[in-house]
Amino acid sequence: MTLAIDHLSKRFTTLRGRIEAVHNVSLEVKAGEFFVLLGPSGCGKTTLLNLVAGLEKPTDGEIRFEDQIVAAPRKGVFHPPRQRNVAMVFQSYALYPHLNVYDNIAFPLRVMRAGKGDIDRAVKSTAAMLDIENLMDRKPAELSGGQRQRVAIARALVRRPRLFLLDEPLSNLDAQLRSRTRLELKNLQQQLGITTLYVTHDQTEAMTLGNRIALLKDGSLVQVGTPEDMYARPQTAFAATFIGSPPMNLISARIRQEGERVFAVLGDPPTKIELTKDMGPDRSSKREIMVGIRPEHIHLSTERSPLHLSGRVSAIEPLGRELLLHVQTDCAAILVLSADKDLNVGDTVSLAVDPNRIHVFESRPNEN
Amino acid sequence: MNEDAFKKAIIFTAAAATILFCLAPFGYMILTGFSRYPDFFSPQTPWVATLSNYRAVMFSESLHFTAFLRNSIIVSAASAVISVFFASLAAYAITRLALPGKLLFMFLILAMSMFPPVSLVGYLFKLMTALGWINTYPALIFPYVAWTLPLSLWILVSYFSRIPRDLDRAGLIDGCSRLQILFKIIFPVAAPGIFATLLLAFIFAFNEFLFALMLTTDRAARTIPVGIALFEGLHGQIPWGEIMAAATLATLPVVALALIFQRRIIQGLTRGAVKG
Repeated sequence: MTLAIDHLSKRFTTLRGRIEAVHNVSLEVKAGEFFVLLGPSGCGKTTLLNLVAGLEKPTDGEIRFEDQIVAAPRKGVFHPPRQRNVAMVFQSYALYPHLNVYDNIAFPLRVMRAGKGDIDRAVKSTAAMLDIENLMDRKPAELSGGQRQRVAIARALVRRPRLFLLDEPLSNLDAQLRSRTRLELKNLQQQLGITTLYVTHDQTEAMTLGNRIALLKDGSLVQVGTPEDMYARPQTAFAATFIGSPPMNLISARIRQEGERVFAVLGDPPTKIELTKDMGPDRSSKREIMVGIRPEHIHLSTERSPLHLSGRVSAIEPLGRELLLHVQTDCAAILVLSADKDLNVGDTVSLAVDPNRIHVFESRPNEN
Repeated sequence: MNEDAFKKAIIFTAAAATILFCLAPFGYMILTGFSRYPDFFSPQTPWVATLSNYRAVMFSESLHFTAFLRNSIIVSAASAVISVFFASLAAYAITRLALPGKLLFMFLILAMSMFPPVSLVGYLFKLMTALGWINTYPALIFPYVAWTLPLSLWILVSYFSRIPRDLDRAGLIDGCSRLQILFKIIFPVAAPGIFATLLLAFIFAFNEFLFALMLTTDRAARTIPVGIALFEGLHGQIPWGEIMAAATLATLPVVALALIFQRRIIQGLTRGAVKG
């Protein structure tokens, strides 16, 4: 099923005033797609999910499942969740504590008044799919976090929903279980081909799971694209620092025009970088820009390269395979990934930057 | 004596004194109930054990103890069930729906429960007389429901608000209507809390004295506390032995309920609903 979100807004009125949790968001999710809503906490991603589920009413805009309008305040349309056939997995799992695993999974079918035989068959096959058949008689309180998670997923999938919604489902699991469940979740989704909307604040989850990612900030859409897109072509400084780990380095620079050629000038003594047309948005209007370089695109080097910075190592974080160096240069503090383990705090290093891997942004990451 | 032992001794003494202070009247009640001579504290009269008081209470036609007990149980149970039913509907609405002025509503309810019953009883008497309900069960049940409702509501609101909202949301997603969420999810999850509230409302109604005194006239509707207080001997003397025996018997159901269910109530109040 395709999902279309059209100029959707949601405003809350609280004691402290009006808050716009979702601001004019438009999205298209293709049938069978694994679509991730990514953003820092408070960016409106969970509100957006709740709007799609029907747990919240939009203030403005429209939501369509295929061609069917399920919410459009201007047209007076609002379908409650039970008319939408969507399923949701909650961060807290929200299992019914008074029911055992079997009854938890069977619950949505019982509410639909499905036949006894059908219910039994559906519950058993879904439980088999998630490998929880041996837990059927347990109550949620007697399950581990990972088991609860599986039961919650089984309850969501048992009635083959049109849309599968997940709200930070992995954030209560420990790291090891999280990466395993991540993989299983992806396989399961591919196997079933259910259109999926997945909310997370973890960029690793977003990158590994999503066919496409929508990055949100302060209720607005920042960028939509495939994980490769988001990594290789971030459109704003915020997108650049939010996606990728460790985050992209941002260095402020000035624009200098020399005839037809445009340069970004950073540091003292000044280093000039020639800017080509495909390096991000229009920049002739601004004097101040941000230059972005990912830590993995900076190398320790003894030779002079076209783009060269030097600085002092101020801190070292060993990541196992390599080191994460905090290097204080004369224009900014820069993160560098280095395979060379023979470095100490206080060493002076010279850094070569691959000029083809440079990004240019007009604004700072805390602006949009 | 070291400090720890000293502390322990102080705590033990204080606890013992508190328990003694609280239970002394009960001790006196039980002893008197089993005593042949009620004024056994005076040096001339010995304490002689007897079951005659209990026998009289249970089987004497003139005391109507069993009728009072039946009335008490019916009135208290009916009041508690009605009160808790409405309180749980209200508590669900207050904790889950976007009602304007919730807090004001809750405080108004609390304020109403502060009215001294004496200020109401005169009017209630007039009302019940006009309705022709004096000395019937409804004459007690209606005021008891009104009187226990604020208590039930406040307990249930605090209990319901501890049930995670995600359960409601999960119910909505799984296809429930609001009413189905209430009956299929909230009530079963809150069952221990609802049960505890039911018990408290029952005990409150069971112990009530003033309304029962004013609004009933004889064994057709009179409840235990009033019944016992108005026990009269054959020649107008106060039958202390029988009063105490009856009081002991009347205390038993309440104490038994609390003892049997205390573990379940506490368990229910502390058990986590979602993640652990």
